[in-house]
Amino acid sequence: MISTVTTTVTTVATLAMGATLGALATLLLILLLSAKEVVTTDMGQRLVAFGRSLDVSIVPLLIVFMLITIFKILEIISSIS
Amino acid sequence: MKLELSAFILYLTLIASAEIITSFIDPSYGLLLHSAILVSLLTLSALWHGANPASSLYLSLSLAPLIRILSLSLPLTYFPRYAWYTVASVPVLAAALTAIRVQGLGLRDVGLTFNNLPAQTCIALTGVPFGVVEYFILKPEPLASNLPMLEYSLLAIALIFSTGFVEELVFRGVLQRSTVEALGEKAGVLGVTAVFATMHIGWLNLLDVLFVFSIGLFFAFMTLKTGSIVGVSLSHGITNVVLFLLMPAR
Repeated sequence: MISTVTTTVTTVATLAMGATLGALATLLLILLLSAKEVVTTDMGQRLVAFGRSLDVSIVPLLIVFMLITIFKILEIISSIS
Repeated sequence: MKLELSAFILYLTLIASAEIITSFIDPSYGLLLHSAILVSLLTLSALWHGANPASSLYLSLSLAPLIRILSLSLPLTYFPRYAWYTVASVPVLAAALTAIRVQGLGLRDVGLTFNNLPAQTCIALTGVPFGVVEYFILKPEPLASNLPMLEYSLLAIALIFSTGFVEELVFRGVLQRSTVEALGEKAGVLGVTAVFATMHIGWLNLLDVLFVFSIGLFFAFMTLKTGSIVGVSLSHGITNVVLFLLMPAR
């Protein structure tokens, strides 16, 4: 079902499974962004630290989200034309 | 330290379980478990804030589940196979650099230093035998064939940077530093190497996991002794060049 090519590269066999995993990662990104939004309104030291540590996941997930969005748009454009 | 070690072992077991679920049962469930591990590690890191190095340990360890979440969700099928490594390395590098910034570390702290160049060169050359041995264990498909020499060389350089440098920056640069600081040298080196080997479960080859564990121990020990990840990054990259480009093209 999946194949690991190196530590950082894993691919799934079907496009449908890829879409599900992309959607799950997007949900995780929304969850992390919401948590970041909530904790940054508080000035508590631990919450500020939590907000900062969330960036470690948010930044790379935003890159993945950007790539997913770009390819979806290109797919739609190519299906129209 | 006892509590930190117990927590580390618990998370190592959880990460291994998530990898097994991803590889043998369903990648979606694996991704969900990795996500839960990630969120709980980030929460723990914040709860232990001020009690460094425990906080740094959990923050750095969160890179392991994050790597799998990123690699599973990246739309790699839109790219040619030879570009996968470079594409996958971009978000992982971004995560590592953010972790370095959040922890307030400098380049030297994560082993980005060129000290003891002759030793680094010798370490780098170990990539050749490592790659040959791993090829006979895995026998992977050639990454690319019939490429002109220039493109072949560029692909090798990309492979060295994206698999060698980025993965070593994560495991030996960021993770090993905080693990050794929190758990001590012996437990830290063994712990990071176990995480590194766990991330190779997806090959579905126990011999390879054991081989990767031995290589990981060597890389961890060399990083500890030289204080630099340059040699091990080159060795890791050369291993993958030999494994995916040179040996399959014989």
